[in-house]
Amino acid sequence: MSALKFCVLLLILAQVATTVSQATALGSEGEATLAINAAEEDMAKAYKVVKEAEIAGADISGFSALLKDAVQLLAQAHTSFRVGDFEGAVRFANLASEIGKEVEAKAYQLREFKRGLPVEQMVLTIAGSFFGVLAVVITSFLSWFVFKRLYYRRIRATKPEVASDGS
Amino acid sequence: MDLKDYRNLFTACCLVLSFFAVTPTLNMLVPFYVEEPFSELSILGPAHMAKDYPFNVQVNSEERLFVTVSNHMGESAYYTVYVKFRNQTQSFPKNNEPSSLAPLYEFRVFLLDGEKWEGLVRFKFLEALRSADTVRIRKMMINNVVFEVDSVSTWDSEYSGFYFQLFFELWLHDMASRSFEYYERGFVGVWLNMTI
Repeated sequence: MSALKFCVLLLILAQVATTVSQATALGSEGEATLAINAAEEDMAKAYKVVKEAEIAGADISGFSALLKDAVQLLAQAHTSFRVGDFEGAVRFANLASEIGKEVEAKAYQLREFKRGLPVEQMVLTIAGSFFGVLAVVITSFLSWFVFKRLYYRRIRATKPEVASDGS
Repeated sequence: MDLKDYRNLFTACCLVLSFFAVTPTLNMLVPFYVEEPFSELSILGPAHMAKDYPFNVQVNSEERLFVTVSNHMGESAYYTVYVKFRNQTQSFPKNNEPSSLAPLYEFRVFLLDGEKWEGLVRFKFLEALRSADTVRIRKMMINNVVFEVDSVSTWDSEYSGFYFQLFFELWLHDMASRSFEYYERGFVGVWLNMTI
């Protein structure tokens, strides 16, 4: 009788242990999925802001090394997840998130700074072209009049005089 | 030359100089030369050359490859290179469609315009079983990470071997959809003959 009770107790304990371990595993997997998704989101945001800063004319090479590190970490997170290393996946994903957020904040400032500049640059370029053309036209006209005057003077100077042979 | 010729010469000079003055504005509005953007995916052998690719492979023998990505998109780009493994009958990427197989390993690369990245791929097969006319690969290792693959190849009598393929797919991050999209014709791979 006591042996039977012992067996039942063992079975119950085994069942509980299995349930707990499954729940823990699912919890880790779920946690890793959340961490990876968050890291993906942070990287996408960081990349978007960096790209916008680049389009606005900013030099983004300073962010390049940080982004390279972050995306590598994210790749490691995915690989860890695939082989069931959920703890590793969370660790790598969190690191990638951290760097992604840092890059996003820095690139945001640069983007905002650079966004105001294209209008100024455009106005300067158009004004430069306008005054350039004006200068070319005025200089050409002045040169032309000076040249014409010199040309006529030379023509007059070389005009043959009527000579008389006196006969 | 008479005065009329000189006048024409002055007018021509004036026009040419005016064109130079207007060029920066024109260039801002209409770019004169736009290069067609593209990205490049390639693999190199163990000596960084396009030769001596691994072909006849054995269990527990490490092989090496280099995968390279070049960015000529005219701006920075964010890529993923998926490493996949297949037998002769499994899904292979097409020009505009990736393989439906799940990736084993992946590289993520952020590249500025004109930059090139090179990654080392070390791989070896850890478990392979041979029966009469099939070889089943159960486990392989890529860059020190062990993957369960469970891929079977039957004897290819035409080319005399048990063939598998390790291939790479290039995916490019799209800002609008905030996801990676398969880069058209972005695949490259090596055939491997498992010799047991």
